[in-house]
Parts: sequence; structure tokens; C-alpha cells
Amino acid sequence: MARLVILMAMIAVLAGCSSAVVKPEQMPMTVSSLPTWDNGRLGSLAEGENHPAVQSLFQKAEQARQLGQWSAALTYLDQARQIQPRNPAVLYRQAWVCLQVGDARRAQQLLQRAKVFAAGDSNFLRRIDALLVE
Amino acid sequence: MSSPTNNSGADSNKKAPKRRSPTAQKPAAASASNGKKSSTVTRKSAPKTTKAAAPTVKKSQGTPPPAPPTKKSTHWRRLFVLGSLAAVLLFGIWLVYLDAKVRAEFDGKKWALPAKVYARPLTLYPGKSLSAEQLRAELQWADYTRSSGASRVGSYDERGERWFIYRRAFPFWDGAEATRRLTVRIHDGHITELTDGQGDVALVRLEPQYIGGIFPAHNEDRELIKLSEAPAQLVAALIVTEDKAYFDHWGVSARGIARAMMANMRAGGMVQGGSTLTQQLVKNFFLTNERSLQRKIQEALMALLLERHYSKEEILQAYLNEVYLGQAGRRAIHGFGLASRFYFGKPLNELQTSEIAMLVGLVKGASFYNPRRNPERAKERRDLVLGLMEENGIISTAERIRAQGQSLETASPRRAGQREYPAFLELAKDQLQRNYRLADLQSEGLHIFTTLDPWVQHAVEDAAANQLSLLERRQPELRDQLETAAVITSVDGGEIRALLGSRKAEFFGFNRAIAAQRSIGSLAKPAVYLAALESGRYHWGSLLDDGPVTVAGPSEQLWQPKNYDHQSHGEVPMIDALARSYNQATARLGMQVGLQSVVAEFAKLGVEQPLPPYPSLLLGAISMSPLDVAHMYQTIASQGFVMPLRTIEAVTTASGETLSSYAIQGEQAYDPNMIQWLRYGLEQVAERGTAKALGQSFAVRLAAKTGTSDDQRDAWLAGFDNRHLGVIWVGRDDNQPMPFTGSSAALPIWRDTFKRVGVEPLLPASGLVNAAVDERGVLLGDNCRGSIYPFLPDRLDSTAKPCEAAAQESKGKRSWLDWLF
Repeated sequence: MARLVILMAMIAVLAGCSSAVVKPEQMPMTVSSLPTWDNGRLGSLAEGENHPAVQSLFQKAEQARQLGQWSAALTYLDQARQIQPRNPAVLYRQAWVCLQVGDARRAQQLLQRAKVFAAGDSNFLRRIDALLVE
Repeated sequence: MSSPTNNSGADSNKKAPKRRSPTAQKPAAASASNGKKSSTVTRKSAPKTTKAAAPTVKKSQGTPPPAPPTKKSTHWRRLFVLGSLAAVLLFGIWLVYLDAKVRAEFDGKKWALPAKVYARPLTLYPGKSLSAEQLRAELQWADYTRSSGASRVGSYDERGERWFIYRRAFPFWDGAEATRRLTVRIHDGHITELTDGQGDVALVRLEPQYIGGIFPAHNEDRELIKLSEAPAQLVAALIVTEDKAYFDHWGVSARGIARAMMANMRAGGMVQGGSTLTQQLVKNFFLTNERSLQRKIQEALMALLLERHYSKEEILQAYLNEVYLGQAGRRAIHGFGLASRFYFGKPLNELQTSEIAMLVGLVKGASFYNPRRNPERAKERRDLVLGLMEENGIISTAERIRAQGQSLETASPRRAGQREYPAFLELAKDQLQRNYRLADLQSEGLHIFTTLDPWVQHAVEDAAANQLSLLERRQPELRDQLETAAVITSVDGGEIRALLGSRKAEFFGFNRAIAAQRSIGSLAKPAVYLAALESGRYHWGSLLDDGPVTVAGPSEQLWQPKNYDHQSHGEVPMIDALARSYNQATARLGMQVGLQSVVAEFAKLGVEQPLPPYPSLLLGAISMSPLDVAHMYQTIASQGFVMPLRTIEAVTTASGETLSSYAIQGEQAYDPNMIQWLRYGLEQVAERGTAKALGQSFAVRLAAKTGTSDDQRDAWLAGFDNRHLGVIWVGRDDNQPMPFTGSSAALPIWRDTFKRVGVEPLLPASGLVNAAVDERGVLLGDNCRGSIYPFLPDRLDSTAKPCEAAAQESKGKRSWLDWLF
């Protein structure tokens, strides 16, 4: 009986060890776990809410967009992109503006690029694909 | 005596000045017309005499009558009158011509303003990684002076972790910004607080550093100012020093000339010029530096004409912008606006009295009174000007004494805010000319905003200079033989952050970064390995044969590449072949993958030049410029996005209207995970391979590849972190071998550059999965023991070998259990 118990215990231990298959660390993509001021990391899910600099540029771009000032909007967006290069929200907006000025090819290029960085966010990917269709 | 009649007769052809001030005009005009008259008379008299002679000859064919003396005297008088008329007519035509010339040059004077080129502005925002060292350098480069409390525009103060900056106004390409008082707190290499007078600031920029100009052929540089923008003291000082009667004369001052002649006679030489400001302007504007009487007369006439057409204020304003005030390398400094910046690092309205006096003193002779080369003379001249200013009531005695007491401090001409960046400038100019005509770039005063990062640029310049000196100390026979080039870009957007064309970075010359076509050697290998990975038949654990290899070349010659250490290493995992840059294994791999596939891979990476499918391609027997190499590695560093490397951010007119702005463009040519898979190989190069000195120096995840070409004629390193890609080349212009490799010559430059700039570790590849591989390089299934390598998830298929090792292990366990039972 005792042996059975020990055997069960050992099997349990072995089972626990073997299930620790080596997998590379996946980046947890929750907003709370994002370091607040980290340059280059994904702040994209919150679309700039974590990053006041990007946020203020988004505001300026939005104002320009409402006035139909496309090249001004692109300028603000590219400045935002240089602060957070892998933020797909920036690329998405840039693509949107490119569509407004009739540059569909460039818009598509930017959206393909945005997809690379939006890899974990299915909502966002859906928005990107919707725009791609246009 | 006949002049008055001639003058009045010819008035209809000429302009009013002659009527306005006959007393002033007459000497000059008369002397001119006399001069002309004598020449015209000599020219015209010949035909006249023949004409006069003809009738007498005809007449003499009959009985020759006695020549009446009265006829001869009237004949001479007639000659004289006709001659004077002709002279005056010619003079009139000449005046009309000069007048037209004056007006053509001066009307809506469009100064040929060179384009001003700027680096990227330093952006400040909370969270940005920024060292105190960098902020200090950037402020100094933008000509900010350190002053307690930073109470003046263009000054800053540093107290511990807190910085106070009084930022100047500046017309950025997306709108002009006013002055701002900022407080920045830097802690642990990051900005932790950023406020201005009103509260928190999300984002603010310092004005960008001026990095050079696009000049027309004569290399004149100027910063235009309006008369109203010039300090009153400056204008007043200029007038009392150079042309006291400026507002009283009509362009030429007889009194001035007389005074000068007296002074010159007294001194026995040329000590004073009698030129008015107007005459000086004419001299500078239109005419070459010929110093003859005729030229002087021409200048005087044009000065009169100029004053006839334009107001004193307009002429003065032109003068302030035209006067030659110094030389900066290839740039000729014209105008007080630019001179103020050149000598004192400040805009004109920030100058002090003593500084104003020094600039005014330079008018008489910019090289003679150069404060840097002839400080005593410059000081004397400055003090003289200050004396004149006091004499004429421009400044008080107290002010004069204070100003004279100040030392002649000028800002260094070699300081970063005044030097140019020739290599980068050349590439920027090339890229601009795709959209703008060169003539417009040279003359419209455009503002060009570029991507250059001066912090990175200085880092690579210093690193290269130091490293080359070090190499030369080790090998003294190589003194002055080694050259270098470097390209540093941002990995995600392809913006060029630094460009080094030569070890003498500040001088214009051969730009190796864009023009030197050099053999890339082992830098070609990643394309081979990428082709192997893409083929589906290889992974990092696959075994390659590093034995001797013989390949038939295009014309049947045999090629037997050797490893660097002349050893064969037997069967090695593919990762080792790349990390240690084994030539034999790579050549064999390339042939097995197929030359066409490798050529296609280069093209997919963005290499535009056509590559012939010769086996030597596999080991980099192709010539590329450092810029081309950077373009290729940019695709790898950016996770597969092929993009142009650009230098231009935006272009505006002189008045701030945006003409063009540029945003990112490119093609996602690869699945990013495939590139990350390749990147793993390059990470191993930096960690334990030929670039392991980098791994040791930085202890963070980096990717790199060393390159040494045939016979060691070229030493390369291409490497990137999370922010920047750097490609470094070292070699000899005469293409001779060197006793250095990529690791020994180029790597230290990369390392020292990134030490100063800062490295950010590469982010772990999120799309790869680790799996085990056995000693034959065969993929094993789950839960197996073996060497671990990363894989693309869809390469892990069910054909993986089940592990005997696992079976062995469980067998062992059973026997142990058996023992229990």
C-alpha cells in the first residue's frame, strides 16, 4: 500500500515535470502590464493613452484631419511614429489618410506593416482588414 | 566751355541727377565726359578728317583756291562740337545701360539665399530616454549659453537633475512656435518631469541644429534681416564709422572723398576710402574687384543712380545683408545677420554693445580685423568704433568704458553649431534633387528639415577617429592609409541618423558611404542562410559539412574557398557555420540551396543591383557601397520591411510654408517571423560568434554580422539593436590588404558608437517556438531531449522523430521502480 502511494506520488511529480514543455516567453498583452513610459514597446492597444506625447500628436492629427489638411495630418502622425515606431494605431491612421489622398498602394503597404505589430490584437486586425478591403 | 551747352542739350537723353546737384555732379560728370570726349574725339576725328579732306581733294582737282584761315578755325570748332556731342551721347547711352543694370540687380532684390539644412529637432517628452550628457551637448550645439536662472532667451541652467531651458522661437515645418520656458527633470537616463509655465508638457522640441547649406557656385551664405530687425545701435554705429553723411549725400560724397584724400596725403598712403555706403554696396553687388579709375567712376555713377531709384532705407537694408564679414571654410559670410551667428553664436537682437562694435569694425576688412586671427587689431578697431559711438552720442561714456573693458570673446568657429556635415549634406542634396531643381535649392532660401541625429553623428565620428588612430599606433606603417565609412539608421522607419564618408568628417570630399563600391565579404552570408531557411529543408540545427569544397566557376575554373583559420571543422550545426562565419560550409550550403535562390534572396532583401549567379557571390565577391549594405540589412532589422533610406523630413519656404513632408513608405516583403528566425542566427554571431566582443561589451540581445573580404581588403560590421542599425566599413582607398578583420577594425567603431548612443536590447521573437534536435540535426518530437533551437511553428510537423532518448529515460525509471517493487 505504501509503495502504491509512493508510486502515485512519483508519477504525479513526473507528470508535473514533463508538462513543463519549453516554450518561449509570450509577451502578455494586457494594458496594465505594459510599462508606462517604455519607448518602443506596444502601447498600441490603448492607442496612445499610455503615452501623452503620442496622444498630443494624435490630437493634432485629428484636428488636421477634420480640416481636411491631409499632409499636415501625415506629418503629425509620422512624428508620433518616430516616438512609438511599432504602434499599429499610428500606421493605421497614416494608411487612412493615404486613402483620402488617393494613394491606395501606400495605404496598403502601411496596413500590411500595421498587421505585423498588431499581431496579438484580433479586434485591431479586423479593423485593419476592413480598411484593406476598401 | 562748351560743356554747359552740351549738357543742357543732352538732358533729354539723361536722368535728373545732373540737374539736381550740379555742384556735386559736375566734377565727376565733367571729368567723365572729358575722359570720354578725348577717347571719342580720337575715334571720331579720323573719319571726320577724311570727310573733311575729301571735298578739299575734290575741290583741288580744279584750280586749288587758297585755304581760308577762318574756314579752318570754324572747321575745328565744328569738329569739337560734334565730338563733344558724340561723347555725351555715348556717355548718355552708357548711363542708361548702367541705370538699367542697377535696377535689374536691385529690383525686388531676390537674394540668392542658399537653402538652410537642419538636423532633426531634439524632442522632449516624459519617459524619453535621454542622458544629461546628451542634453547638455545638444543645448550647446544649438548655441544656448549657460546662465543662472536661464532668464534670457537662448539660455539654460542645470541644477542637479533639474534643467531650466528658455527655448527660442522657431519656425518648425508644421508651424512656428513661440519662445517657451521649460523645466526638465532627468533621472536615471530618462525624462521624468517636463513642465513649462502653464503645467505639464506632453511633447516639446528644441530648435534643430543648423547643419549646412546648399550654396550657389560662389558659396555666399547669409541670413536675411530687415532694417527694422537690426539693432538701432548697429545701424547708428555703422553710419558714424563708415559714412557719417549717409543720409545727406546723393550716393557720392564730395566731402567724403576730399576728407579721404586729405587723410591719405597726410599719411602718405591709402588710409581712408572716401566711399559712401552706397558706393560700397555697389562695389560688392555688381562688380568684380578691379581697382581702376574707370571702375571707381563707374561705381560712383551707379551709386548715384541707385540713390535716384531707391530710398536710403532700402539701400541701407541691402547693405546690411550684403557686406562681406568673414569666411567659414567654403562659406563666405555675408550680412550682419549671419555674421552675428558666426562670430557670437547668437541672433542679431541678442548682441551686446561691444559685440556690435566688433562687427561694425569688420566692415573695413573682415580678414584684416578677424578677431580670431588678429585679436589685438580687432580689439583696437572695436574700441575705435566704440569711441566713435560715444562721440556721436549713440552710447554714454559709462557704456563705452564698460564695453571696452569686455574681452573679445567669440564663439569657436569649429563649434558644432557652425560646422557642416558634408557627407550627410551630399546625400540630402541628392535626395532633394528628385523633387526640386538645384537652382531653386540654391537660391530660394528653403528650409530643409532632415533626419540627421547629431548625437549619433558625433558618436560615430569620434569612435571612428579614435579607432583608426589606435589601429595606426599598432601598425605605424599604415599611417594615413586607412579610411572609413559608416551609415546609421533607425530600424523601424529607415531614417538616416548618421552618415560618415571619411575619417575627416568635416571636410567635403569623396563620400565613401555612398560612393565607395567595396567587396562585402561575409556580409553576404545572411542572404545564403535566409535562402536556406526559406527553402524549408534547413533549420538552425541542421548539420552542414564544413569540409573542403570545390566549386566549378562560370568559365570552368575551380574555386576552393578556405576558412579564415584554414581549418575544416567537420560536421557543424548550421547555427555555428553562420556564427563562426565558416566559408566552406557556407559555400557548400549555398550550392545546395541553389545560386538562383540566393540571388533571388538578395533581390527580395532590397538589393537593386543585378547580381551574377557565380558561386563567389556566396562569400560576398560583390561590390556594394556602405549605404547599399545598410539598405539590405535594414530589411532584416525591420522584421522584413523593405524601405528606402531617407534623409529628408520636410521642406518649407523661407517664410515657413510647407512644401513637402515625407512619411514612411515601404513593402513588407517577408513574414516577420521568418526574419526573426534569421535574426536568431545573427544574435548568435554577437553572442558567441565572430562578433562576440559585442555580446561581452553590452550583455544584452543584439544582432550582428562581421565581414572580411578577400585578402582582408575590407573590414565590415553590420549590427543592430532595438532602435538603430549601424554599418561600418574600414579599408584602404588603394584597395590594398590590411592586417585587420571586420571584428578587429570595424567592430570597435560600432561598439564605441553604441556605447555613447545607448543600446536597447532586441525584443524576444514572439513568433518562434523552441524544439529539440538530435545530434544528427533531426527534429525530435515533444518532450524530447536534445539541443534546443527556435523554429517557425509551421516547420514543426508530425514527421518529427519520436525520441529514443525519452524512451531510454523512461526505461531507466522503470528499472528504478522495479527495484522498489
